[in-house]
Amino acid sequence: MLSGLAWSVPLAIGLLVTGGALAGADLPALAWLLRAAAPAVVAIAGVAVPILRWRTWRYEIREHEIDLLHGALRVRRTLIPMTRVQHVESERTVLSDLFDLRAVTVHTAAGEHKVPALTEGEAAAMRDRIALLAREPDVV
Amino acid sequence: MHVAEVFLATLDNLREMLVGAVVVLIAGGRSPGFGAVLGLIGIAVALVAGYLRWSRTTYWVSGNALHFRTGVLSPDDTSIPIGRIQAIDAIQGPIQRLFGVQALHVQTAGGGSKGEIVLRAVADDEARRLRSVAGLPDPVELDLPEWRLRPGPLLVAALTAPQLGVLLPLVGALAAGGDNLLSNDQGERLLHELPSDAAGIAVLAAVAAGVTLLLSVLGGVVAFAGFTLVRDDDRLRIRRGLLQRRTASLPLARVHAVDVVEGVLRRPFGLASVRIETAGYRKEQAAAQTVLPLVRTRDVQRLLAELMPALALGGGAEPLSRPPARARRRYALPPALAFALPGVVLTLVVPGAWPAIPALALLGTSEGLLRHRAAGWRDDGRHLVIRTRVLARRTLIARVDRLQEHGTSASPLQRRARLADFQAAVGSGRTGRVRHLEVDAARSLFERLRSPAASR
Repeated sequence: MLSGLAWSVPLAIGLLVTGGALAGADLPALAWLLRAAAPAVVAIAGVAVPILRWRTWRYEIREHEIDLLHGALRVRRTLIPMTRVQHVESERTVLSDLFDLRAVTVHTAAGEHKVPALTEGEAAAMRDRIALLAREPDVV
Repeated sequence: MHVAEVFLATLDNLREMLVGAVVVLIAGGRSPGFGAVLGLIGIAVALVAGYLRWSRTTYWVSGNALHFRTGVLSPDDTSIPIGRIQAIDAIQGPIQRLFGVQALHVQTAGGGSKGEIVLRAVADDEARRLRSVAGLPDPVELDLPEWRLRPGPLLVAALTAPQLGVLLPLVGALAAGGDNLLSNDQGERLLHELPSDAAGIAVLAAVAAGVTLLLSVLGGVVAFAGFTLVRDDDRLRIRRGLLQRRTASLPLARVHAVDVVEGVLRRPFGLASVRIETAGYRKEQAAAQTVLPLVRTRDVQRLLAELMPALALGGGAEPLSRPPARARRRYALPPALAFALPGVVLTLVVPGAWPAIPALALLGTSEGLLRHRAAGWRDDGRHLVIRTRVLARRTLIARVDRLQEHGTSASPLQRRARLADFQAAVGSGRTGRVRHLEVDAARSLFERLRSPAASR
């Protein structure tokens, strides 16, 4: 949600400013349209979509695979065999510390997958479980 | 180590001093005598340092290990147990050829393509002795499965290579250079001498195009001349290059997939090139590399069986499963829009150019329909085949037991139409993706590739 706000709020401010400038330039209709669009942008891109995205995040750590399901509009499901996991890390940022949140990233030879917005306990449990299950490295 | 090492080390030193030399030259003003003296001193220092390095670089075999020591002030020691040496690759650069020596890359299982120990100057019989110590057969005497790029195909490969990526910056640089040239007096005089009529400009353009084409063909010839691919037991060895002979060697186990690329210019003639997708090890970059620059598409399976058996499909060429016919407009729309966009821009600038919009859209639509026709997938338990087309047709053949991940995705519109995309990634990071499958087909493929623990 924060990342959504991060770009939608400046955009909304930009819309308001442009709207103000246009009101001075004898284009009142367009100005009001832009002013009305500003809160809508924040509501949709800053609040609704991130909430939807967060609510649709599912993950399951099984013995042989990691199953990820996420996406607000385009729904993606990804399966990572446990033997392919190279390493796993949990990370925190200043921003995520405000809410006591962690992200866990799973690395494979092909790339990485990030599970965002976990509580500290969840993140630690997930990281340790994957680390334990992926313990036996596969012959690449 | 052979004396040639002195010159190799000296060249290295000179290369390192180059930046400093340029700085000194710029700072030291324009007195040519001073510059020449500095240059001579630099060369002398580099020579002495090169000599010192050679005299301090040694290798020897003792206690069942190959030892290597190099460095003047703080020597580095490397030892490899003889039993762990997997291969000794030989490479000849211009200097090595001048002295009739070879650079030996001693390969171990864990190492990258560069070799754990690199002996830069070893005479031929010394190389033979090292190989016999390591219990490795002499590569000359073995009859190994081998593939060579012959001169005729080399020319065809260079002619049909998709060199646009190389050409565009070159054309840009030429244009910028021309700009510079034309902004001064000489340029203006030159401009007066240029032909100003349409025919003259056409001739100039043709000459420029011819020169760029020639350069790109030459580039292709230099890159791929003498291309040889050899399978030595469980390693692949790739040799290429006209001026600098490059050899890369890698274990077959690390080849996770091959990509058969049929370029726009090659496909009509039944030609293709084959790339391998390999997985990275620790620090080494994962890489995709051309292993067969030009082959007949119908020979690909035979060559794979010979050179990379784990990736040969075997059996007849069973047809791929394809996305449904109703997915056609979904394939056609994006390229139609993408192609039409430059037409729209052009029309905004030159209103008379509006016929370009439908013409380009039509072109995009036909590309989209061809994409639909090319798209397909197959899974025979050991291999996953995914074919896509973006101008060139690419067929990814991946080992199922090496897949890094796979998944499905669907947008709301696709969900309404009960369609879904399927994708799978291999160790090099290359992702194969088929768009707009029936959702059930995507799901069953997803399930079949599951539980690798059971299938192994």
